[in-house]
Amino acid sequence: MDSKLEQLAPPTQWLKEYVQIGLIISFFMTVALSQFYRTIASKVLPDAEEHLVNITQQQIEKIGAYTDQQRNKLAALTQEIEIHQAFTSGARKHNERLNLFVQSYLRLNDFENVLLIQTNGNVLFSAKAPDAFAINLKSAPYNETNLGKAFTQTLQSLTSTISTFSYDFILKKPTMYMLRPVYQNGLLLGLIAAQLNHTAFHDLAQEYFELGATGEIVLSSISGNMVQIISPTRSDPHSAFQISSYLLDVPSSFIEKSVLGGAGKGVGLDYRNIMSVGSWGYIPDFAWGIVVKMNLDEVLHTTYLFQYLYCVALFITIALLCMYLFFFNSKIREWLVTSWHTYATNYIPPRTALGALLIASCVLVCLVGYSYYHTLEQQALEQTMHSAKIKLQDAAWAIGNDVERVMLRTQAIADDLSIGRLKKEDLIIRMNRELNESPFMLGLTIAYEPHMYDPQRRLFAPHVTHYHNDSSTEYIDTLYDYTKAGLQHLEGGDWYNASLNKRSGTWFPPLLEKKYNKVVVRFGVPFYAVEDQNNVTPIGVIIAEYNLDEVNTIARKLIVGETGYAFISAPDGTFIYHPNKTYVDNRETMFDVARRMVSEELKTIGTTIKTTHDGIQHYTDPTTEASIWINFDTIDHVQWKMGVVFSEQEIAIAPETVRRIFIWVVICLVMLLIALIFTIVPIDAGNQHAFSKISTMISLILVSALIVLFWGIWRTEKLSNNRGEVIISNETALQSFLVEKEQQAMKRYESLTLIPTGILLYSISFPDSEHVALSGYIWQKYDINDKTTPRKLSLPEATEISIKKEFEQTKDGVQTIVWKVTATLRQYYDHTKYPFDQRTVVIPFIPKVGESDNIFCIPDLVDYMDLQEKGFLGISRQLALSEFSIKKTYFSFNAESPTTTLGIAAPNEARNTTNMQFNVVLSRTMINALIMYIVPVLVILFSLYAIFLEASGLVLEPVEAISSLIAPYSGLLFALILLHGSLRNNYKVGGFLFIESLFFLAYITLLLFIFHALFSTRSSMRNFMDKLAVILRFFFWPLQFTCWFIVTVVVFY
Amino acid sequence: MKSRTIVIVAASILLLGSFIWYLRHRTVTTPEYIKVGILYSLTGTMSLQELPTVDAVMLAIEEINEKGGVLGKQIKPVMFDGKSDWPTFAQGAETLITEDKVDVIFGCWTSASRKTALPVLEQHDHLLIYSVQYEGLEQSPNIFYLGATVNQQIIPGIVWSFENLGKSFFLVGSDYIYPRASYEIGKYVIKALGGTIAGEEYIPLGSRNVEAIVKKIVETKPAVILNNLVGESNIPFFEQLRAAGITSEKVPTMSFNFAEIDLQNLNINSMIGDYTAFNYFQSVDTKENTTFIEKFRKKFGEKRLVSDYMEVAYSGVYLWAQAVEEAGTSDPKLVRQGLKNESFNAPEGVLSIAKENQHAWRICRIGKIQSNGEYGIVWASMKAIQPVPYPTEYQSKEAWDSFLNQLYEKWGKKWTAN
Repeated sequence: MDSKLEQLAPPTQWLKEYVQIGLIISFFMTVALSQFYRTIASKVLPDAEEHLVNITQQQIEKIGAYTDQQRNKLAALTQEIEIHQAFTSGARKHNERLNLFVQSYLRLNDFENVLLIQTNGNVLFSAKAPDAFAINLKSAPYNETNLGKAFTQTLQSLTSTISTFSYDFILKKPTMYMLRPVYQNGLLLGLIAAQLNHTAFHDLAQEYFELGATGEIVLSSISGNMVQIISPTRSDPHSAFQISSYLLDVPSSFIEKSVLGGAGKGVGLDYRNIMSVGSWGYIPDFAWGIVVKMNLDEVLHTTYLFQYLYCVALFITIALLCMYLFFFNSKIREWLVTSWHTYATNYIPPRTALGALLIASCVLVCLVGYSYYHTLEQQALEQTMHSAKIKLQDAAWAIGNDVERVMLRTQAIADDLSIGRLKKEDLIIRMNRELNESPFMLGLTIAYEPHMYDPQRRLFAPHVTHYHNDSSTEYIDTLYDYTKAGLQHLEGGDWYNASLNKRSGTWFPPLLEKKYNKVVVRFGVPFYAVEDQNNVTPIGVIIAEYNLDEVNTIARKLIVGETGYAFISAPDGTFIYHPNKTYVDNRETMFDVARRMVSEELKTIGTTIKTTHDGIQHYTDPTTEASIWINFDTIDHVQWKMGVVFSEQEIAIAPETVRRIFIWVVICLVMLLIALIFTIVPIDAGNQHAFSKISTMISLILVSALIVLFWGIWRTEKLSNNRGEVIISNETALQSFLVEKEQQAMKRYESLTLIPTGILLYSISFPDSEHVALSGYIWQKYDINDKTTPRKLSLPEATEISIKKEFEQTKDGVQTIVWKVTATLRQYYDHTKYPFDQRTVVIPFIPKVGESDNIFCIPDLVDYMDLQEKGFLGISRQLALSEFSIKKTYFSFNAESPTTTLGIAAPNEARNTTNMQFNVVLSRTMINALIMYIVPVLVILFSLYAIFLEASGLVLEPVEAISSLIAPYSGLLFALILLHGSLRNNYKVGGFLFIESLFFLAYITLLLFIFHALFSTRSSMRNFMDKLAVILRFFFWPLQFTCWFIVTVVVFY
Repeated sequence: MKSRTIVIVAASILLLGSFIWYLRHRTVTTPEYIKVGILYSLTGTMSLQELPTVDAVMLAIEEINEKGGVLGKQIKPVMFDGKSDWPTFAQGAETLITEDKVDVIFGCWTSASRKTALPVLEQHDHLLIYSVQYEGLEQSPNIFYLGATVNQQIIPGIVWSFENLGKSFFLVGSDYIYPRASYEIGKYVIKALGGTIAGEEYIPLGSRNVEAIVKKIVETKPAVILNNLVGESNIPFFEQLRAAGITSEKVPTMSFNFAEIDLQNLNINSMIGDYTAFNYFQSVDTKENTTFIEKFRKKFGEKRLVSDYMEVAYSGVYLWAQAVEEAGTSDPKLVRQGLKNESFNAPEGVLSIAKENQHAWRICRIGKIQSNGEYGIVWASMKAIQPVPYPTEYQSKEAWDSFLNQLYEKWGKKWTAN
């Protein structure tokens, strides 16, 4: 072989022309791709912005057109004789006729309601909910409603006005009104108000045509010092009135700019903190901002391919240019070599020192990579803290708002009593109406000083409650003398004297009100005699019982990380809300918890929270040694403390980011090591021995890099959770989840039946790629008094199942049943990234089929604590897995809606679709894939290379070539096809598996070799084929491994 | 292929590519500024109110220039003195448009000056940004009316007075188009509310002869005086009212043209308790307003006061600049199209243009004079009020146009009585 090769011209001569042509082609490719990329990139973003601007304008015009249409319809209504008669004759006399007229008008004109309002503020007529609107819009608290404010503006300007779109506590939902004055013969009769159908605006905000996959339209408005989203968005159908943030001094987000009257376009972070391209504008009729936006990634998607191609072309050009200059331009080469020798002689230490420098660089790269990772970790923590702070402020503001409404309403009753607007005979009616209109108040008490209500009656204290649509009235004065001092021993404390003496609004500590079986907080305010103009001597007290449901809902939504939670405490530290309900029910304080945990650190933190307005505290959990952060703030008006607790461990950098850092470090190391090889091995003479050395060493580096890369990918594979599941990692998380379910059940006047359930798996195996076989024990605990719940276990999705009752025990009123289970479940797994894929084995527990919606299996976390089995939760130590290792196990509740109605028409909305499931996250061990597929492919490639080396030095006739080369090549191809078939058979996917790229590379190589064998026998092609043989000989392994390396980086980056 | 040939071909292509690139990227030299006209009375009876407005416009121009101008060009203001003489405004508009080639005119204070300049603007299809409250009853495509229409200022003033001060009104005004037309609408409103008109009197614009009016007020004893005097006439009017024993406690005055700046010329103590309906007061509590006042005082003196028309004139420059940026040109015809969709977070709140009539949505505020010479806001609309230039609920557009024509004819084809 060598003798034949030596007859050829040295590679540096015959390669020259190829390199020149390659250089020219790659240079023009680079220039063309660069221009193409720049042109596309410079057009894509402005085009997208312009497109979004047009859509913004279109939507503003559509909203304007709809508004004008409704305005004209309302204007026409003001001309109707029926309306005029209603004002002039009094609506009640014509109620029936007017009602018919207005109802037909509503049907035709897309309004929700029509109200007639006299200039003195009295609502004369309402087509819907007339009792709710038996009010005066000039009186508190109705003058503060959106309808009340719009009434005032319309009356003052005698101009058509649209109210704000906000929560209406009369109708208990967000409403928006359009008002207009009504004239007859030049005289102002009153105002007409039409409740707009806001779904029409929501529909306009949900027109995603021409907005790609991520585009959405966001409507927002200013509410106080906050800006809030008022429409559902594509990415969050529940965003309306749920997402809000403070207006900053310098508006930064699209939404802020839009509500402040701005119009524009640009790129920035949206309300989800995702980079977006957006356009924004202002709708003056409503004082709304409108934002139309798309994710930046989607907009720039088309440019990414050209960016990659451009980079590749640039790299090839530079490489070829360097090669050309160094190898084929004698002057430059001489100059470089001379300079290098001079430089090396004078300045550079010997090759070993240079090698040491490169090795040091490798170490430096590793350090930089780690340092960058550490910086990102810090940034992630800071961002989470900032986000927690913003969420906390928003939640505290929302609760403060609710609290203020209680105070305003209670104060309004007190004021009305003090100025005589509320007559004594109307007390109960007013109390009932207030409670009807205020879902956040459970009860009201008006307690008079002795003989102040009626000189003949010593005490008078009606207590009206509204709970679960039941209203009741009782008289506290018949139960006990509330004016007596020293009633602190009572559950409610000395509420009367405390309020009376303070002379202003007072919030009391929380108490568990037995009547409602829930914790309530009371607000008391005194009122005065009508003749007492200066409000000097109070003659009674009004007590409002604040319903904490809304507070709990707000706090429950405040979650940071996987297991983070929020709490609220009274000024004395008593918990008003905590996910662990026992703290609240037992009226425990933060200090009680600290005492129980024997934690001085927690006690100090409690004191700091109690005495400081807001801040952040850190402590180490004495049990888990986790690093815990507590961000806290004060709720206005009540001085309650609200805190959000989260674990630092859960604020990890995204595994993708870590993997990318790792990949970059490996790439840098590979390049440095290759440079090191060129430093060590002298190749400037074009010596074939040197080429062989370099080829071998590069191959070794790439193999090592691949091994490291595979390890890194395996380590950084993201532990994916199923969409829509609620992870239950501890008792607090479980309690938090159950509170919501309990409330839902209470709305249906039902209660929950909980079945603590545990599992211990002894074996997990995969008979094929779509099934999992399990065996182990499942235990369930039933209340012995509960005879209705069936004692049975059901594992849905099981194709084969065997459940045997293994053991049963009844103790302390609890019946424990242990089932021995062997089952095969059908499950879907994604294998595209094999052998770096994961499998999450999901074992769902359904306690019943087609029975009550209130029966839940819940994780029996308490019993797990007692189990001897440590290691992974729910996994026996005896469990052996051949191909996988367990990464984690956890319980969760899957809240995903069913994707089908299963043929049942009109499924009940309240139906419980949430079931407990036990999850085992498995990560594949590489060794199996290595033995089964990677090693065989390597062996085939090695055989191929060996045959080629043996044959490439020979001059063969065509027949000889077929027998000596093509036959063994075909044999290898056949082996490869068999192996590939086995792979596809074992791992069924629609697309390609990652590991298949190795097979495809082997196919290409084989075809190249067959092509070489076929054409090397022809004398006309022999020269070219000999050159190709040299290239294949030296670059076979480096090319193979480089391709593997590139494919791995591209797939997993 | 020979190496030399390859190198020559490559070099030629490179050279050609560079030349094409140069042709595509060469810059075109264009003027470095945009001219804007400022057409106000710098002298005469109206200069008292119009000069401060010029200051506000100049402040906005300076701020925009400091930030790099508009479309990368500096704004160059060109002044023309209207001299409180209405025909001069038409002449000024002509000069600014044809000789100075300005791209927009900020100016005209009185309705008389605007009405005189209007034919010139329409003839040249140009653009005027008008920043003073006015009577409405006009809608030219060449003017953007940023000042309040009657339903954004005078009607709320009347209704608020009716509800809070009394039901009998005495109407006082300068004798020109704005007070006459706005009171005509006001009279319909008073009638609709069920109020009475105790008297209605006008004096020539700039006149100090107010004795007869004061005498009639004393005689008729109204519950509220509605004051629409413009310019220097306010000073003798209030002085003589007080001299006649009419204080704010006895008969409060609701003014429509009497800003903080006008208060400076009177004894503050005698004015405490009177009211003004405006869209902006210096006491408006917004971050933007604090910044605006700070900047104005930094430039023009710590004791300077700002008022409604100054604030709107200032905001008007910004609105125009935004429209130019978005249109990518200062051509008045194209800028007019863009201006219809503009909004600006002004010191008073968001100022938006209603595209259907080129007027601005404005928040109305009622202010009560306080001892510190400022207005304490006693009522403000919850949000901006829609501009309605033609109040057709009282009479048709044609009837309003006919009413204006009658006045014009009566005054000898002028927009003022004198």
